[in-house]
Amino acid sequence: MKRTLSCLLALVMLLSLSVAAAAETEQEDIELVSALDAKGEDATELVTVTSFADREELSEDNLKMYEDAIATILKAFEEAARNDPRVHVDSDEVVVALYDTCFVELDENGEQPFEIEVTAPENYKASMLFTDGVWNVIDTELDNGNVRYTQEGNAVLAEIVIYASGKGGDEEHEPGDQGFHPSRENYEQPELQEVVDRNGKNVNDNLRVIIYRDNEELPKVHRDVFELAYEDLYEHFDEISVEDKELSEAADGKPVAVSDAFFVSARDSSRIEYNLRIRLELTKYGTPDDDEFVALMEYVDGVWQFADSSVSDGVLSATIDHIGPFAIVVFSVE
Amino acid sequence: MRRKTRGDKRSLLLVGVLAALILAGLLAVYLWEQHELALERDSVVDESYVPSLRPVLQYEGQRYRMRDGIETYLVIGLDKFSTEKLDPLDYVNDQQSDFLILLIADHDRKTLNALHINRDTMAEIQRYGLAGRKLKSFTGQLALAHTFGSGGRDSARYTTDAVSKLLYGVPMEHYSTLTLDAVPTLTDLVGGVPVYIEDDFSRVDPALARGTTVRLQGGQALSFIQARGAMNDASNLNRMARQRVYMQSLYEQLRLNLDQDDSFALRLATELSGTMVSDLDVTELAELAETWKEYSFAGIETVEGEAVLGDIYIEFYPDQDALQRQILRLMFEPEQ
Repeated sequence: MKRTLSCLLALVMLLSLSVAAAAETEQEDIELVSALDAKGEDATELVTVTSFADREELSEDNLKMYEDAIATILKAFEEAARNDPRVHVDSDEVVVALYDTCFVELDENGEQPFEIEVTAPENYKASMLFTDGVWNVIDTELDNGNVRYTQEGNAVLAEIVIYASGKGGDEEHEPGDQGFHPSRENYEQPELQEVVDRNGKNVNDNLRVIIYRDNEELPKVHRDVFELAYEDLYEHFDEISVEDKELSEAADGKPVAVSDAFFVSARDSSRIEYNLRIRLELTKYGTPDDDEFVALMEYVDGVWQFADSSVSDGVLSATIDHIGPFAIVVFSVE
Repeated sequence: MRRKTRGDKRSLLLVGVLAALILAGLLAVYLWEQHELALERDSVVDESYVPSLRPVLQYEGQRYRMRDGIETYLVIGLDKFSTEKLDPLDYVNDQQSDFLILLIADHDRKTLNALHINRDTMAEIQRYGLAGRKLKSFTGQLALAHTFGSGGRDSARYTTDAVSKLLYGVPMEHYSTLTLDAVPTLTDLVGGVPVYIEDDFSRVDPALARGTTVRLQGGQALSFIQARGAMNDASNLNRMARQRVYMQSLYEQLRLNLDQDDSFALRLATELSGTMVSDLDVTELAELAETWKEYSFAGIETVEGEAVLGDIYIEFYPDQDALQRQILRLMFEPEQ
C-alpha cells in the first residue's frame, strides 16, 4: 500500500513540476543548467542538485551537511546583508531576502573546481555557499537569467533576491514568496503586542509570529529552518530538556512539555537593531499560567537553548537577538 | 538522485502529462489510502489506549453500575471540509467539533438511544502540547477538545475523553469524526432527507420556505443543520433542534435503505470513508449498521441546561442533576 502511495506521490510530484515549468507562476527549485570541469569540458552529468524537500535522498554525511547549513543560514544571511557589498542594499525602498537553497554534489571523477550554471529567480541579487561548516557570499555572474559560479567539493548553495520593501502591509505578495499572508481563523496565534529594538524604536510592522501549524505562510527558507527545528524538538525534547542546564534547573526535576512552537519572522531581517524586546500575547488556550510557564527556548545555529523570558497575565516578555524558531516550555501534568 | 537541467523540462512535461493520465486511474486507490492514513494518524497517542473502565456511580445513596449490554459510539461532526491537509506532527488544528451525538446501543434490550450534546457545553478540556504531552486542563466549550492534536485520531480521542469526563466517566468505546462534506454525501446517498421547515431561512436558502416540508438534497442539508449566525436565534440551541430533526429523518431514510438494499451498509461506509476518521474500519462500520438496523430506535434526547453569552462566545451549562439522572437511565442499573 505504501509503495502504491509513493508511486502516486512521485507521479503527482512530476506532474506538479511539469505544470510549474510550463506556467512559471510559483517559486521554482534551483535547477542545474550546465557545468564545466577545470579543463573546460562538459561536466553536467557529474553534478547533482537536490532541494531541501528531497534531502532524504542524500547520503548520511551530505544530509547532515545540508541540515547544518539550514540550521545556520539565518544568522549568516543577516551578517551578509549587513556587511557584504554583494548582498547589502542601501535603499530603504528595497529589501534583500533568502530565496531558496539546494545541495550541489560534485562527482569525484571530475577535475575540480567546476564552473556551475544554475537557474536564478527574476530578482536575483547574490549567492552564498556553505562549505567546511561556514556560509560565505560568493562571486557570481548573472547571464541570461542563470547564475554561474565556481565550486570545489560538495556545497549548499543559497540564492538571495531583492524586492520592493512594500511597506503597505500583509496583503502584498512579494517575489520569491516573501510576503506575509493572513493567518487562518478558528484557532489562535500568539499575538505580537510590541517589539522594540535596542534604540527604543517600535518595529512591530517588520515582524510576524507564525505557529508551526501555519509554517507554510513563511518564506521558503524560513519554513525549512522551522521544519528542521520543529522536528528536532519533536524527536529530541527529552534530551534537550536534560542537556540544557538552565532549562533543567528551571524545571526542577518536574516533567515538562512544549505547549507552543512559533517562528519570529521579519520582512527585513538585515536592518533589525538587536536586542529586541518582544511582548507576545499567547494563545488563549495555549497560554500557560504564570506558575505553569517554565521557559522560552530559542533555536540558534541548530541548537535549542534557554532564552531569558517571563510570562505574566498571558503575555510573554523576552529579549531576543535573532529571528527564527522559538518554543514555550511548560510543566506537564503527565 | 535528481538531476535537473533545462533540457529535462520537456521530458518532465511529457512525463507530467502521462502522470496526469495515470493519476485518474489511481485516484480511487489514493482516496482509499488517504482514509487509511487518517486512521493511522494517532502516532502521538499511546497505542495501548483503551477506553476507561466502566464506572460505578452513586446517586441519592444508591450505587449504579453500567449495564453489561451497553456499547457507546460517539459521532463527531467537524466544522471543516475534508480538503484540509493534516500533518501528524501538528499539536493543534483548526477543526472544532460542531456536532456531537452519543449513540448508545443496548445489545440485551436491542435498543438504540441517542444523546445530542451541545458543542458549547462548558467542560474540562485537556490541553496537549507537542508530541501529545499532557498540559494543564481548562474549562471551555466541548468543541475545542478536537483542536488539540493533528486533527486525526488523536484529536478524536481527545474529544471522546472530554465527553467521557462530562458524562461521569462513561467510556466512549467507538468514535467517528465526519467532516462537513459527509452531510451532502449522506443526504444524497439515502435519496434526500425530508424535513419540516420551522425557521426563517430566507437569508440562507430561499428554497427552504418556512412552513413547508422539503426533501433536503446535498448541500441543502448543510444549510439546514449548520445555519446559525444568519438566523434569528444565534445560539446553538435552535440549530441543535434542527440537527435532531434532520438526524431523526435521516435515521428513517437510512433504515429504509438498509432494509431494501443488502449492499447499502457497505456502500454507505465506503462512500463516507474519505470524510471520516474512526476507530472502526469500513467493514466493522458496515457490520455495526447491519446490527443496529434490527434495534428499536428510542429517538434523540438532548441534555438540559442553560446557554449564556460568555466573554465572546456562547457557553452552555448542563443541569448536572438532570444529566446524571439521564445518564443513569440510559446506561446504568442499580447495583444489587
